[in-house]
Amino acid sequence: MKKAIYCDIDACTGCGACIVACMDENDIDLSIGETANRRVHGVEKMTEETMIPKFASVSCMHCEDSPCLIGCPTGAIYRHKVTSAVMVNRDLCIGCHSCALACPFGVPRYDNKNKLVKCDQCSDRVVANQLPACVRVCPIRALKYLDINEALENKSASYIGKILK
Amino acid sequence: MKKFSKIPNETNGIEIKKTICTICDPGTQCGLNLYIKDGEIIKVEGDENQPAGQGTLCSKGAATRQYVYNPDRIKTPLRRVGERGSGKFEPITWEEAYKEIAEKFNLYKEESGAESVVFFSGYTKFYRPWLKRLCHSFGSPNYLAESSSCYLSTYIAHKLTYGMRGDPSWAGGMKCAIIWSSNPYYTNPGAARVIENAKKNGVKLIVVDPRITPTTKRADIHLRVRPGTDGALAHAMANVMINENIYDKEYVAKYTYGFEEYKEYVQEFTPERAEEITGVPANLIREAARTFATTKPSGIMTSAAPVVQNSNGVQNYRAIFSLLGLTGNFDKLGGQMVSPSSFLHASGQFKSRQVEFRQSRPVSEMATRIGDTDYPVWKELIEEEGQAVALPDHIISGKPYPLRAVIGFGMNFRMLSESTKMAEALKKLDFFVDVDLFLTDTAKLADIVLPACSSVERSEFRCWGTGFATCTKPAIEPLYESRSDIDIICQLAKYIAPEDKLLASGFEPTLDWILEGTGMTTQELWKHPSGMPVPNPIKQAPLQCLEHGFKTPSGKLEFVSKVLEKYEHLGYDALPTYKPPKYSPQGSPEIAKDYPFILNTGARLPMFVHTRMYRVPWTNSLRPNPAADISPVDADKLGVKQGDKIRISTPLNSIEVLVNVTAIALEGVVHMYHGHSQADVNSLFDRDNSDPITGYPAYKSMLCKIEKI
Amino acid sequence: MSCTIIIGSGAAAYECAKAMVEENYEGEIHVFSDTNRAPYNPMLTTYYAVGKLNFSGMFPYGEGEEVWSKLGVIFHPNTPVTKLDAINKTVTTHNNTYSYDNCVIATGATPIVPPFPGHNSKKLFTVRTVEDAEKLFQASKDKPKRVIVVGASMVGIKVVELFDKVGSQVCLVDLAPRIFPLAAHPECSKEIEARLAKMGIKLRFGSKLTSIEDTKDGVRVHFEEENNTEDGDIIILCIGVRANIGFVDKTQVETEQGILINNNMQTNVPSLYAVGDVAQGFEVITGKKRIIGLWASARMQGRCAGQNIAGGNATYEGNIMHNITHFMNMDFVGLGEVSNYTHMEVNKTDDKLEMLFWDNDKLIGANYLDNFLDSGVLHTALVADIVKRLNEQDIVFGNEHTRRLYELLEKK
Repeated sequence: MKKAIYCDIDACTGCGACIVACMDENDIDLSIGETANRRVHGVEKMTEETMIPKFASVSCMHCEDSPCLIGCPTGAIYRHKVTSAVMVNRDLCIGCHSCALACPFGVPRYDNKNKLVKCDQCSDRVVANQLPACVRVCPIRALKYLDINEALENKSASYIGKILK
Repeated sequence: MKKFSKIPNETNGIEIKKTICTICDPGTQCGLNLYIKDGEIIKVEGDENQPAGQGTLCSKGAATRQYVYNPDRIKTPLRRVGERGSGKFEPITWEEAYKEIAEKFNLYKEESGAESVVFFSGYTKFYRPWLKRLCHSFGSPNYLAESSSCYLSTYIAHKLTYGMRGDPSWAGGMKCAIIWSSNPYYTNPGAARVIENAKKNGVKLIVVDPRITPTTKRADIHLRVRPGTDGALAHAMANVMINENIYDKEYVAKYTYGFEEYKEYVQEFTPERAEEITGVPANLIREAARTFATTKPSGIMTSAAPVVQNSNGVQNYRAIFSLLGLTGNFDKLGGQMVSPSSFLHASGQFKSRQVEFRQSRPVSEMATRIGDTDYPVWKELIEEEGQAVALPDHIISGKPYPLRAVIGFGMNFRMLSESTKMAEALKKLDFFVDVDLFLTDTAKLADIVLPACSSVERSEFRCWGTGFATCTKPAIEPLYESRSDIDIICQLAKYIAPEDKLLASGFEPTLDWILEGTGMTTQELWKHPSGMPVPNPIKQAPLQCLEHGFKTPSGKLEFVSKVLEKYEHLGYDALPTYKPPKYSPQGSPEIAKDYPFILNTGARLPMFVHTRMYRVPWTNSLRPNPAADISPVDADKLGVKQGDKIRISTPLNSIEVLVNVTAIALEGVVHMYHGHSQADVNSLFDRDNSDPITGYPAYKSMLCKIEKI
Repeated sequence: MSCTIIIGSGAAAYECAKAMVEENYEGEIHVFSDTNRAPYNPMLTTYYAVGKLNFSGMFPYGEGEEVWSKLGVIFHPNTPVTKLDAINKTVTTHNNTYSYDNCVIATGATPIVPPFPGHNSKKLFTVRTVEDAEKLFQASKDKPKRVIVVGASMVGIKVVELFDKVGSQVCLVDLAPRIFPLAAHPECSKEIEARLAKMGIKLRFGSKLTSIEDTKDGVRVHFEEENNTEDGDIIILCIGVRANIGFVDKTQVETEQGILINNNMQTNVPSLYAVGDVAQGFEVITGKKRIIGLWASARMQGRCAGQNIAGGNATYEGNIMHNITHFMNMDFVGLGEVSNYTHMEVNKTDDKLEMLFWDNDKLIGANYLDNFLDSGVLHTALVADIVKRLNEQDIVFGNEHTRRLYELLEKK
């Protein structure tokens, strides 16, 4: 069963621990323009009485039918055999940015060689029976690593990522 | 970019070592799994076997690698060669450094008395009993710490009211909690998880906070109080409870002192009047008061400093704490339970000898401690340390006695109001020694700088309220020539307090001495890398005060403080009276005309703790520029938009920062995080804008104006 | 046993065959091709020529005929279809006629080379096929001094970049008055042109090419304006492509520029499908049928047709015009409708340009210059907003764009 990282947007506090954990796991060097594979977005939803802050930690959703994978002209984007995570073969990436135009979540980023850098769902950790770094770090466990169906059945309203289901 | 998998296996030489993170230092101290290859940390994650962190970390702890391997780390002991503050140093050996420090300190002791040397602790805290002991063994009473603007004032408010500290008894069946100006989701994940569980278990949550936070989002009732008016809000709640007869009459009659006066005093704080003062709608005040008084047992969770960093801070906190007595919740299971400290300020369900250890010389044998003349209540109630806010004036004036040297550990001059004044004072000293991980702005003012190591490079002892304790071992060797603060203290003891053989004996014997009788020893603790349950824990129990008397002069819970009564000549009120903030529309209407905004500083951001994480790229990237939070309504009025540059001015000074437009901020309030060297908000506060009882700077409520630039 | 014939062997054809196999189609699948190559991506020819990809990189499914046999498909290399009889369900090649139950036209398109004098010059190149790529690669190795590129299109600009990189003086020519005349708003074109000019690219817009004359060391291009010529060592023509529909009987099959299809990829003849660059399906903003010659669309269409032939009921509800091109250190994104709008919103910061085009309160198109990172969010929302109503969780988060869209939806 394919699993994915889901963010409970009611619980997420926007603390950024997942971003830092991602940078730590992936040895991100900000000084050469590398960025985390994960970002936190906030929306301030105004109601009559108050404002409801909503945060979402967003990274590659590893969509079931990934528009980036379909749109990649060289086949540089592929699926991990075990985890089904959407992966990049750097040798084939030509920096055309087609994936940026395809991604519904604004996820793709490019390194200083103009090659796609993205979340691989910590596939090496998952294969070794560990949680992805961002899920592992989350102090209030707003990020979860679930099978897709479980996420959608349990509490679909508060998870993001149904768009391509 | 990651070059190889970090999963340990038999061939890649990667191993996992356990330690704890003490980058922030409230109650959590999350356990760390450090992935180590060839002596270097290659990855950090939470220790799943350690109850405090439960395998998780916050953004700060997750950035441990960039904190430990920071290019600003001090590599060797340094001696100043340029002008003070020029940052020009030459490397020296530890031996040279100790000798020079000893020569100077011993000379000053001989010439001006031991009290002319000040021992100061900033962050972190694990070495504090050792440093205080060193100070007193040397003969100086002047052990000071950053707690001069954090926590101790809250502790004083507790002591004045109850004689000791009480913590919310979440696990005891609490049904309703007031979380008063605390947002542990950004500061203390352990406490945040407690709230998450409480929420799941249906505990009613009343949250008092001017801001909208992840905590207020979980509230059943959110009281958006105007900063600095907490006392009026608490009194209005008391007013409702008393006038609607929903307070605990039996408890009040049996266990409290001064109720009639208190009852009479709070009459003026009708919810309607409080609405004018606090901005909280009267109906919400009523609802909160009724909920808290009738959903029992109930408790109050506070934070270390937000309410007390106010010109009426202690009294405002006493007003809040009085609600516990009024509703009969203090010293009750599921309400508030007394929790004596075991080590540092943490209650670990054991009794250590830390007080005996750190007070190596009786107070009577030493000169008057700094701050004791100005703050007699502090002197009476706080054994731990002197009040450091008096330090700059004392150094500059040389009165009542000259101060010639300071040795600071993790010291930051920006912690005080008029922050440049502290820097100026340090420059006036004959001799200033600073011990730190990084060459900070404060370290740059020093004559001798000593390199300390981080928590992952040393051994330290910690305990938690759950009856759990740990003593870590270094996960990696100390970097460069850095050393553990405790090792530095114990080594220095040989030079400046040679008769204190115990202190000079080093970490393990001293810790064993402190822990004697607890069933824990350093060796035993070291066998449990993730920590261990405290043997024979002294379980936190209710009814300790109710059965044996409160540790107050009256032996009762004091609505009217018998300690404060003694100082009425200084203008202290025995009742927890409400006074508007010194700088506020009510407190200083003339100034408010030109300075229409309330400036509230230090409200926590998740990626920073004071100034510690600014130099860490990973955390700094989450909020890269100093920025003030203002509400969209105010932004419209000022004609500023996201990312514009503004000037925040008080009558004393001004700083320039970016603007962050967010409905998190209450209309009319500006929130600014502190300690930025390029925009130090503490420089906007004058020294006199403080709580007269404890000297705490009024960082949470000041007036300011904002201009677009 | 039933039989499906796929005419053409590009990505659309491959995805169609693959979907049929995956859906357990029980009949025979025949693929007729005018080449013996594995499917390749015409867009990659410039990347190969510039050296960003090796030769095999142009073949995302792998190289060689075995790509087809691995799928279990009968491949007829170098066997172009010359005639299709949609009524009698037969296709004819140079030596045979085959009957089918279902047929999929996936013949793609061919670069347009108008028959002006000199159009068969040896120094004239086009950019579409693997063979074109090889020739272009060789030509770039000669480091020509002067290069004329005709067609200020997404392909043209990549060719400009290729020769600029090898040090040629490049002249970019178009009949249109500006660069990217279809995808870019004039204001955005202006900004791009200014940057190109700064980098030393000569721009000749509004110039109609009338003939090419071979000279001693290259070519001379003549324009409609008198006494106005442009000399180059070589000339590359990138003025667009034409759908390969010559073998189709227009009295049987409805065609315009391409073969008209519905959302099931069917033509007006139910047993006949068309996919990829030859197909003219729905463009979702205008609701009109247009050829959207894009790799992703071709694959989606191919898959959809394959699923339907295998007995499914798949739909592909169309796409919008969308292009991203990374060239000369710039990124241009064109999305949806950029000319027929009621008002536009321009956000310019530093060197970044964002233009949003509205039809009253509906967002219908966008241009980005160096601001492409979030373009996918807008792309998806533009398609989804019209194709299906999103609920809040679908798009609240992502970035500034989603925030804006969220606010927009909240207002509605």
